[in-house]
Order: sequence, then C-alpha cells, then structure tokens
Amino acid sequence: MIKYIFSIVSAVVIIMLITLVFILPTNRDSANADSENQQADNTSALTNTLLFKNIRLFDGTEFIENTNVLVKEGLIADISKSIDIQHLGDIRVIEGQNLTVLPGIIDAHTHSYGNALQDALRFGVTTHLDMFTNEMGLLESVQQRQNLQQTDKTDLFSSGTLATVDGGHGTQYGFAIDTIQNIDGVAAWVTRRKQAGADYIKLVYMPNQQYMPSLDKATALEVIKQGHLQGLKVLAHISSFSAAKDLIEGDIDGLVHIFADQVVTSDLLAMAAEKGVFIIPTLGVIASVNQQNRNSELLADERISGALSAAQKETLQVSFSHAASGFDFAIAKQNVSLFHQAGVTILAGSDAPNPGTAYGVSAYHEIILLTESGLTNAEALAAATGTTATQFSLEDRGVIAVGKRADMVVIEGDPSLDIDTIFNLKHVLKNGYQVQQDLPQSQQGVAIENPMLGDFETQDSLQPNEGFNWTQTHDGYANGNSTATITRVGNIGVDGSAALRVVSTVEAGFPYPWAGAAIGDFSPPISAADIAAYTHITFDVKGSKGNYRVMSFSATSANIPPSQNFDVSSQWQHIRLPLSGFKGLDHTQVSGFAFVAGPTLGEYEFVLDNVSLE
Amino acid sequence: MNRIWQSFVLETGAELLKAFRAPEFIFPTLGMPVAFYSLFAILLPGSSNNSAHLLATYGVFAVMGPAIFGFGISVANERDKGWLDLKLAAPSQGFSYIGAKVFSTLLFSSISLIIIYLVAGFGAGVELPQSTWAMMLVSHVLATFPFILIGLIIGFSCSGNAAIAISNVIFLALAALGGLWIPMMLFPQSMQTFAHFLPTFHLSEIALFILGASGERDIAYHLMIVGLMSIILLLLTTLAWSKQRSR
Amino acid sequence: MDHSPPILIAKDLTKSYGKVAAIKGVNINLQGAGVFAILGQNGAGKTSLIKCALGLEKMSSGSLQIMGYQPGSLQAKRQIGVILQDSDLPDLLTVREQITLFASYYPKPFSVNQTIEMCELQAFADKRYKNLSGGQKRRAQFALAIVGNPQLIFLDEPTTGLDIEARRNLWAIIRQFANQGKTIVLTTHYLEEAENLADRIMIMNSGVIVADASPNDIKKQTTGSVIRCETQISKDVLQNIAGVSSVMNTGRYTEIRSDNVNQSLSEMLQLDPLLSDLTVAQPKLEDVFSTLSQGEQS
Repeated sequence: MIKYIFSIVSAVVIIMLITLVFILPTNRDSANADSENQQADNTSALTNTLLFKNIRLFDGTEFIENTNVLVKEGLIADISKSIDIQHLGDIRVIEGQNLTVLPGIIDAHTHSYGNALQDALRFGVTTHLDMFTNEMGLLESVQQRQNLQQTDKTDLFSSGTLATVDGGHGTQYGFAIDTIQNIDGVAAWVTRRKQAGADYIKLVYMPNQQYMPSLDKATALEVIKQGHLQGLKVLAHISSFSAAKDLIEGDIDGLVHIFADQVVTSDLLAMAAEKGVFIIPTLGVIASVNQQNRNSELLADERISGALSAAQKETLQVSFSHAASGFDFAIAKQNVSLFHQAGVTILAGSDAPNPGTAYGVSAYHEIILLTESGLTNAEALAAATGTTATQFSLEDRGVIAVGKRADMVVIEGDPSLDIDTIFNLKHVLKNGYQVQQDLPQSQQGVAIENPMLGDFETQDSLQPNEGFNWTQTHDGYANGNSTATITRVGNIGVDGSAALRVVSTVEAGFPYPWAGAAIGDFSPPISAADIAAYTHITFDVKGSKGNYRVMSFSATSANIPPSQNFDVSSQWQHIRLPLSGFKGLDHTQVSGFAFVAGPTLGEYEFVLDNVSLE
Repeated sequence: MNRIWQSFVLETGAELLKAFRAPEFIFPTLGMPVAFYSLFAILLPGSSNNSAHLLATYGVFAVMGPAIFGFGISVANERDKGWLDLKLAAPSQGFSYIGAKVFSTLLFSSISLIIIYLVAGFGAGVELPQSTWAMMLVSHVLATFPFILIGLIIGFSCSGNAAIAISNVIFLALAALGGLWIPMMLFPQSMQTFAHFLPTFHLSEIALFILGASGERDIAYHLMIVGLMSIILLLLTTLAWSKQRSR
Repeated sequence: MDHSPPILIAKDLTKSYGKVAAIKGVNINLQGAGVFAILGQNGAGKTSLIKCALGLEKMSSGSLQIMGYQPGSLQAKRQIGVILQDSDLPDLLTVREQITLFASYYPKPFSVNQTIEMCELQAFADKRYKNLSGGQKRRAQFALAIVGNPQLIFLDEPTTGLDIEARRNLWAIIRQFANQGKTIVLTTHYLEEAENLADRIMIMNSGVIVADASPNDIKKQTTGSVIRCETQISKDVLQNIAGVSSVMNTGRYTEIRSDNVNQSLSEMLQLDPLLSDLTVAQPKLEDVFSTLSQGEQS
C-alpha cells in the first residue's frame, strides 16, 4: 500500500482538481454571454483608445468610404485608408460591416435642465448649445467641457439668461431674471453675462405684437453692438419676418428660430447671405406649435422608444395647448429652403424640451426635417456637426479630424443614401469613452390600494397608505423662494369634519413658482406608485380666490410636472379632474400630487378635504 | 536518482497513510473550513449574495489547516519522539523528508479545496467563468506555501505540546484577523491596518482580485507583500532548521 | 594485517554541553566483527558517544571516524544501522511499511521479507506499530537498524524496559547478526547483558572509559557475592578465609567478597559468634567499576 498510495492519491487529487474546473457551474448559458458582453463593455467603458476599421466616415463635412480612424486617449489620432495595426498592440477595434462614423451631434438650440445632459448623451448628442437657462453652474460646465475625462453628460455651452424687458418673453417663468431697463444699461448687462459664463448673447425681439412687451429696436441693436464690442456672438429669438429683417439689418450673427408668418423676400435673402447670418430654424418645435404631431412618429419608432427616459417620453408626448397664429410649418420649411438656396447657413437645433420635443432624439429629428427643407443629407448632417462648430467657433469638436475631441456616433447604414439610418445608433463615444446607451432600469410602481388619499379625519391621516404622506410643498426645494405651511384642523371641513388648512406664499425665484400641500413620497429613495387602476382625482376645496393647479410628480423624471388648473372660491367646491389630463405622466410611476397656488405671485390660504382617486 | 524518487514516493506515502489513519486529524482539518463556509455562505440568511466572496477567503482558510496543523504539530511530535533523529541517522535525504511533507500537505490542501469548491458551486450557487474558477483554484493551492513555512518554523522550534497550542493560536489569529471569516470591511480601521501584516489578508485579497470582487485592489502590492513574507518565512525556517540540527 | 580502516576509531573524543562535560577524552578502536558493549550507568556518556558517532551531535574536540568517513556523512550513514534510546516509530504505520520506507534509504538493503524473517517479525509485520508489545516494538526497531545491511550497528540500550523473555529473544537475534560478520556496538547498563552478548566490554564512567576487557576478565570481578556485616574479625584473618577474594572496611561495616558464600560465612560465624547486621548481595556495577579501577591502577 505504501508503495502505491502516493500515485493513487496524487492522480485522484489532480484529476479531481482538473475535473472540478470543468464541472463547476459557470454562468455560461445565459449569463456567460452577458458577462462576456459585460466584460467587453467594461473594457470598452474603461478605454479611451480604439480603432475604427474599414468604416464609412462622415467627417463633419463630407462622406469618405472605407477608411480607418484611430482614437488615442480621447483624441482623434489618425485617419487614413491604411493603418498599420501591427504596432498598435492590443486595442479595441470597431469594424466595418456597413457602419458609419459621425462626429458627436451638436444640438444648436436647447434649454438644458433636469437630466438634459445625460438624456442627450445617451443619444449621441455630445454638445448642447443652450439658449436660456439658469446661470448657476455655467462656470462649472465651462470647466467640464474642457477636460477629456469620462463623463455621462453632454458638454454644455450657453447664453445664460436672455436679453428681455420686464414682463417680456423669458420673464413668464416666475423667477427674476436680469432684465434690461434702458439702453444705457446694455453694456453692463452684457458684461454680467460674460462674468456668469455665457458663451454668446441671446436677445428676444418680438415687436409689434400685443401679447407681451419686448425690447425696442434701438435697444436690441444696442445689445448686438455691445455683444460684438465685448467679443461675443449675438443671437436672437424672433417670430416674425419683420423682426428678423430688423435684426439682420442690425448685424445679428444668427437667428435661433425660423419665422413662419410669411415667406421670406428675395431682398432679405440677399441681405442675409451677404451679412453671413446663420439660422437655427428649430423646425421640430414649429411643427409642434403647428400641431403637426411629428413627435408621435418618434414615439412609435422602436429604435428610439426603448431608449427614451420617462422625462423624454413625457416632453415628446406633451403638445402645445393650441395652435398659435404666425407658425405655419409649411412656410417654415419653405423659408429654410429659400435661405439655404440663397447661401445662408442653416444649423440644426431642437429647442428641447419644449412640448413635442425631447433632448437628444429631437436633434436627430431636426436633421431629418432639414433634409425635408432642401438640404442634402450631407448638408443636414453638417448642420448638426461641422457647420455648427464653425459658426460657434467650437474648435475642438464637430468634425472628425486629427487632434479633435473623440466625440463620435456610430450608426448602422449609409446616411448619405438614407437619412433615416441615423436612428440606427450602435455606439456613442464621448471623449473617446464608450457611453452607456441603455436606459437605467426604472423601478416598478406599487399599486395604490386605498383610493382615499386624504379625509383628514384622524391624526394619522397625514400618512394614509403606501409610504405616501402629506407634506407642505413649495419651489424652495428647487431654489425658489415660495413657502407653505399645512395644518390639520378639526372642524373646518365639509359638513364640519376635519380638513387640511394650507397657507401659501408664492414668490418669484423659480420658473414655475408654487406653494401648497402635497401627497406622495418625496424623500429618496422614492417608491413609485401605480395609479393605472384609477381615472380621476377628486377633492373638495375652498379658500382665497386665485389660480391653483394640481401638479403630478413622476418617480423617474425630474421634468416640469404635468399639471391641471382649478379655481378656488370662498364656497366649497367639489373638483374632479381626469388623470389623463396630466399630459406625459406615466401612471405606473407616480410619486405624488401637489395642490398648489401659483404661478401668480401672492399670499393664499385654502382648505382641502376628501382627496381621493376614483 | 531513481532511488531518491523511490524514497520520496515512499516517504510521501507514509505521510498520507499516517494522515488517513488519523481521523482526529482528517475530520477537523478538512471539515472545519467547509463547515464554516456552509454556515456563512448557505445557512445564514442573506448569505447567498456573498457566497463567491466568501469562497475566496474560505479557500485560504481551507489550505491553512493542513499546512499549519499537518506540518507544525507532526514535525514537532516526530522530533519529540526521536523519529526525526532516527531518520537523520539513517541515510535518508533531508529534502525527501521535507519534500514529502510539503507534497502531502499540498494534496491535503487540494482535497480541502475540492470539497469547499464543490459546496460553493453546487450548494451555495456560486457561478463563475471557467477561467476564474481555474485561476482562483491555482491561487488557493499556491497559498498553501507560506503556511507550510509557518508550520515548519513551529515544528522545528517547539515541543509537541507547545506546537499544538501555538499552532492553534496562530491559526485562529491569522484566520480571524486576516478577514477570512468575516469580510475585512466590517472591521474597525485599526484592525484593517493591522491586517496588512498578515499573509492571510494578502492571499485572500489576491483571490478576491481574481474573483473580480467589488472594491479596488492593488494586485501588485499584494503579490509583492506575499513574496516578501515568503522570503522572510523561508529565512526563519532555515534558521529554525539549522538551530535544531546543531545541538 | 587487515589494511581496511578500523570500523570505528575515536581519538581523544570530548563532548560537552555548555559547561557540563559528558565525554572527557575517549579513545576507541574497533576492528572486525563482533559485539562490543559499552557498559555504564545512566549519565556515564554512552548515549552522547553514540550520537557523536551517528553525527546527530557534534563532538567538542578530538576525532571520530566510521570506516574512514566523517560521522554524519552520507557514506558513513550508509554503513550504519541504529536503535536510538527513547526513539519511537510512527504509531500508525505497520512494521512492514516502516521497513519498506527505511530500505529505500540504503543502496543495497535486505529485501523487506528477508528482514522480517531475520528479525522474526512475521507474526506482526502487518500490525500498526502502536498495537505492538514492548518487545515487538524493539524488534521492529532492530529491523529498521539492519534492513540496510549495514556493517556497523549501534544499539543504544536496546533492552531497557523489556521483560526477561523479550530480552533473551533480542539477544539471540543480535548474536546471530554478529556471527554473520557485522560489528555491533551495544550500550547497556545491565552487566548480565554485556556478559552474555559482548566479545569485548568497555566500561564507561563519568565520561571516561575506565576498563576495556574481555567478558572473562570482567566475569572474574563479578562472580561471587558480597557479604556485609559488623564484625570484630580483622582484615588479615578475613582474607585467609576460604573463598574470600577481597575485604574492604567501610566505617562500621566490613564488606567481604566471596566465591563461596556458605563456606566463608560458616567460618566467619565460628570466628565471631557476635557478628551482626549481616547482609549478602550480588556485586553491584559500582563494585565492578571500583574493582576494575583499582585493577587498572595496580
């Protein structure tokens, strides 16, 4: 035995060790494939060096067939028909097979708040040219867009706030903005924009209409002059032919909308071409104002809909309440076509997240709309890449050339033949790093069992069910200045029952100021509620006269809450609102409702009772 | 050469027979790691999510037993009983004695690992890519060596009874303080710092690195420290050996 | 003359542990086959001498060679088989397994079965060592000592703790080996063992070899009995009594060595009827030492 036990035990142990490796459970069947993908994703997410091999390239200006692009440490290092792969070593390679590489898309007209920058980047929009936003954080975004680090956010350029007058366009959102009081203050106003981190100036010029006051022509021209004196481009929001004409005469650098009230004249075309003006038509939002419902095509497109966040779906679904006069989509397209033929530069901008548009996806839609307006496919793509970069002097991006930032989009198909292929998104690269295109998983809402959200009869009725509770709510949480207090009072309700007294002070400071009472789960982690089983929300209310609204909150989106208005008087009223009236609200992912006063500023007091779903 | 091999085969055979005929050695050394592992990775509630993490650390625990107990105590005992002297007086090669001990310890560590891996794979539901299984297994088998050296030092410098006590203390201290039983991150900071002086900590970190467990790991640092510790242990072993020879 | 080197030669060998000297200058020259006994009490330095010869301990000064090789060298070890005092074999291995293992150490060993036969282990060769009796254990150890077919076999106190039958049993095997031309060095503190087995006896006391003689010489010193008593008879008279070989006064008592106790005692009682405190005993090893020491001196 002693002679053989060595061989026996050694053989058995070694065979078992080897067998062990082969019989132990691997996540081969389903998960192994995943883990390999994940591994690939992990490595690709970690590297900012890679090679595109035998691909079709749109370099920001023109198409080049069958070439190679080398990205090294976040920058484009080489573009050539033949690249020596041997000495590149172990490098990630994305190869041919009908792939087209585009520069990262630049959206030349956005209002970037909420999850704008993440939502846009997932769709390959790597640069936002914002045309009015909160100036807080702008200086930070200047730093952010200069580095080559891995990020999940689109780079942001912005005008900061816009040039308008008290009560003019831009002031209706309820927060105090730096308005222009008189022509002498213009120079200082422009300086303040520069200090806040603005990259260019945007002014609003809407003369000759009765809806809201506007800068007068002289002041508008002064803004252009002072902007230029301080080295900034000056862009303008206009909505009419005459306004456009005034400003083009006044040396405006660009218009951020096309006018759609009348067809452009040949005189203006000639002048615009001569002055080198560019136009960002924002056809998508004009289509939306004009009730064209082009957005529903996007929502129905499976290549897109799966990657849309709740917020993106919401803004795409919402529409303007009514068609406004002076916005004819056909005229808009005709004007774009005419300007383009006249040699005026046309750029792609979405005006997201205005109703009917969404960050990211609407920039692509705008490219499509431009091809419908007389631009070739290459011209339309350039309008979202190379041409925009040239017009806005963005030196590190917009084109695929050696030394440029590796912001890139890879699509399947040939957009020179079929522009619709731009929605076949395969890869997005930001600073050379692979961007995660999948939507972060959303949580499942818990069905609300008890429809009575608040009868306030007992002390603990402020916490009725499913983690929902009553709180005061106001825009203070979003850096506004409004305040509210809520109190359960024993005998002030309908028929002398208990009810909720709300005292609100609505003050300027946030675009859509509000203050009031809310029912829901607002403290992270937010557990979403599913109210799909109900059709209406009802409640009894009385109090100080004024305009009130019910706001609905989504557990997954930080967008403007869809709202419905109601009126209050000193008499009890029973109010019944359809849940379908909350446009864009995902009924399976609700975090709560708010019963608030605003946006009209002032002091309010109201009593709420018998809040219920039905 | 053939005779030396023959001698090594028989010497190893003798070690294996002695071990297999001593259930009081076999069952605790092979049974305790897998029992602990089963307890923490399968039986305790909420354990399923870290069964892979625990396999990395309990694998190190599994190879400690055969090395420290099989080695330290048996060498000390055989020294006490004059068996070692008898071998040294006979024309046996010193290294075939040590070699047989090392090899049989490796075989026992492997058996211990095979058991715990089977429990992990088929009991605790650990699923890993094949290459990860293989690399972790190899790293665990190799992790036996530092403990063999520790066992040798104990065996050469203690009497049989002292060796039992000291082996137990070292065994338990290395396991507990090195984070083999309970994840290191649950320890207070001072104990986490102290763990850097223990080979168990570094060996389990290497296994965790192979596993791809969450958290950042400087694999080069851990490999370097393990290498350094092994060299120091080897020097101490040589010292203990020559000290016991030159009486 | 035999030109091969002596089996074992020691010159002025000393060994001390710290300040304690265990061997104080020993000279030995062993040639040819036979059983050589080193006789001495516990602590006389016998085991230290064996360990030095085996290379298990380093000598402090002097020299020692085994068939021309240094102790502890592989060549020396291959010529040696050994039973160490207080050394035990692994409990859980069978006798056959242990013999198989030890056989593998030597270049030209006996076969395992041959060894088992020679040592008469057949009955318990496949038993685990821990289940053997004391005598069986010692025979198993002896098997390990001879399995390599060595020229020189050291047996350090091989029969300590064995009953008389087991002892005689082992003696027979040892003797048989010596007759085959092997050199056996045996340490013991049993006079009887040395006398029965040895061709030559070296008596060691306090680290020195005090006597080196044939068993016959030793026997002369050890036959007879020691009579101890309190008596008025003078030393000169006592020496002339029949059978008396030596007389020694130790204070009150007188010790008389006699080859014929009965005759000597009856004569003494006639000479001194008041003789008291009488004891009769076999001679002790100390007596032999002292006698031999005296003999050396004279």
